[in-house]
Amino acid sequence: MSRKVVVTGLGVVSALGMGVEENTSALEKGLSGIAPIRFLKTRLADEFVLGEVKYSNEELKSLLGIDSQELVSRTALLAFLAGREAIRMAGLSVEELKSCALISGTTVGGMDLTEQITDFQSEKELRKILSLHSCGDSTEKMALFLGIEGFISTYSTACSSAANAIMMGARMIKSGRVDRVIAGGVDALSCFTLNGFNSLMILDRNHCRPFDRSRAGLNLGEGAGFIVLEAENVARLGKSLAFLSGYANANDAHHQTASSPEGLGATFSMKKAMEVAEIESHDVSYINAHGTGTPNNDSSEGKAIENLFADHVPPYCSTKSFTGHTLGACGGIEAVFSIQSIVNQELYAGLNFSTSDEDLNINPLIENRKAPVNHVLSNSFGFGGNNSTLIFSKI
Amino acid sequence: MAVYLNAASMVSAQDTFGKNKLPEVNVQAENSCLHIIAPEYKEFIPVASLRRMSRLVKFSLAAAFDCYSQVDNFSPDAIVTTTGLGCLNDTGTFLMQMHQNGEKLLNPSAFIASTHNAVGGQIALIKKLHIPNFTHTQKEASFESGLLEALMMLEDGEASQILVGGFDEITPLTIDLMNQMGCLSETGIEKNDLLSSKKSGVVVGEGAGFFALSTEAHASCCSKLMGVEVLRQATGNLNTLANGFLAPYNLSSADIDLLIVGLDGTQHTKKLLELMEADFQAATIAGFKNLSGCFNTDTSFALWLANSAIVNKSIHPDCCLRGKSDRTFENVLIVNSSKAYSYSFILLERC
Repeated sequence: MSRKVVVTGLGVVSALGMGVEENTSALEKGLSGIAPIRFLKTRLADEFVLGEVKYSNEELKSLLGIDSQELVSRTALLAFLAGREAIRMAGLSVEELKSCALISGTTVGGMDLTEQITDFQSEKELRKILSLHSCGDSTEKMALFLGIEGFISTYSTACSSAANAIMMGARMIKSGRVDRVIAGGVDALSCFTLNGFNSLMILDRNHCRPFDRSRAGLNLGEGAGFIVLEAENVARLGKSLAFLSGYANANDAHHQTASSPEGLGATFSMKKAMEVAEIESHDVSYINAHGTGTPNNDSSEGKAIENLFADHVPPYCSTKSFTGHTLGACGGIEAVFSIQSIVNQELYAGLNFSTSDEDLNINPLIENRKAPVNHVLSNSFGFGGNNSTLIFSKI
Repeated sequence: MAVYLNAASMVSAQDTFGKNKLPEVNVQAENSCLHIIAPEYKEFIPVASLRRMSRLVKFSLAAAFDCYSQVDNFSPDAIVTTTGLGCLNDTGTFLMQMHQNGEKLLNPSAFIASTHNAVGGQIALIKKLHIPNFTHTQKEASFESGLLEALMMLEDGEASQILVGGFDEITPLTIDLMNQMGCLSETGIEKNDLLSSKKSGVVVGEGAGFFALSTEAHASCCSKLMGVEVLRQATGNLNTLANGFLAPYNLSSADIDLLIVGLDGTQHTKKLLELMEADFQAATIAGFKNLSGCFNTDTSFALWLANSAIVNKSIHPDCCLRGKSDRTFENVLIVNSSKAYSYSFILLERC
């Protein structure tokens, strides 16, 4: 029954730009997308930097050919763009799309619209806005936009949502239920999440510094990352970019929002994913770490990497120093980056690292370099102790 | 490979919690709402944790842990939770606070508790479970999506025991908004109203249903979960679609002896009546939304009811829309429909 799962299409929108090319180019040049707040309407505009997608909703609608008056959540708009790019790259036909499944991860859904209602009694568009609120709605709208009539579902497991969605996609193909799945995640920035993370006091007012000793928190970001998964036996010749060879989810079972000091959940998810991929720790070429830049995450994840890989710690880094933490989307966006690393046989380094952590004996990659890239491990960890690892492998 | 339903626990507006059968007398809706009967939480949840938990988290955990305790030495390999709207009350609380305080000096408690995976996370935390923990949210198909994932994990050998649950809550704000938008029924909905489809709105409900699925049957197990499917944009005759769903299990509509339909009393679910008019002539037909109320994961109530009917060889008269209410049920089909998708099917078989 078990079939191999290949990736045949990529789509991404982030603070680094629109599309795979712009995003990859920014990673190559070491140009961060994190900047002062321009688009999000918040009273905290002068206090924080964000990884915003540098387009207004009107501009996004115009790129998509959607009437500027139409009420669409920013979450859905970002998802449409990344989804469309991914299916175009895979070259899926209208008929193939119809029977595709779509699995998305998101934490906010239409919150960017809901949070603007201050008075429910006088809101004219109340019914419409509320109908767009649920996380599932953005996925439903994405399916309609892309012409997908098959099974859809939405994951909402905080910051590991997209990684879990990709995992479910692989499961559906392996089970033989479908041949093709579009999977990934999306989150638009909202005041709700900005204020939420601010109330938790884990935001850095300056640019985040993953794994650096001076790190003081994360920068929030937004975007969407989707990949097309196909059963190996149906994928078009020459279209396969990578195998999705391993995946796992494990729970830290330590605290609602904080990670355990020894990174237990992270260790379990990485270990299990390598077992599924049937590789050893020395086979891993590169780790796209979760690396949010909070003191807690990076120390916990760093410990897990150090313990698990011991003498074979592969180059690792966090691309959240470029995009900000895109929450429900990060597993999708970073899956695209991980696969690009395989396609281009290049390791992308993170930004803003200068001093080693006192508790760790390992350091992240600080300069891009060409290298043989066979297996890339991508981590996404979320609240509720939800730890996920995906492994992409060279064809 | 068979998937056994080893335990079921349901917190609902009816006295279902801790029981496997609907009570003699069922509660009717008041102001078109059916609120849950709260379990004695401290029997299931550590008292120290209770204080900070929202109502939804508490009643969902009670169902989860009750389900847990029904199976000896239950040791799940995965937890799959499902919810249409998640922890809505906490989401509302945090938003309100944000607006009122002008985005300053906010208490993070409601934000932390607002995540859709708060229940799944708490189960892991309290039971110290490092196992996979997934949360699906897909409007009215949330519960079916989670069931499907659980089935796939069991079939693929990723897990041999899984705890699956569905839950949603009514909040004062949601009732207000539904009222404002005219989505609530003006009066309560009784069994016969389900068939007439003349109501202008629904009775809204809430609840939490948890189920222990396993590849091995527990001593007290009575039913097998055969299959789940969601059809999003199905056209054509519903009887044909239902038979299409049943075919891979070597069954047809004639083999179904209990058909549970998601009629809600409005014209939106009217198409489900097609099933009663044609193929399912031998089946006892039952409704449930008059007792559970409508909520995104209300098919968890239907699954609990299906299992209860198999166990007790009986379906409560308040649910029974047609046919014999007391008989042995071999094959039970649940069919739901919604605005978000055409139909969903869940198939159970007596074991």
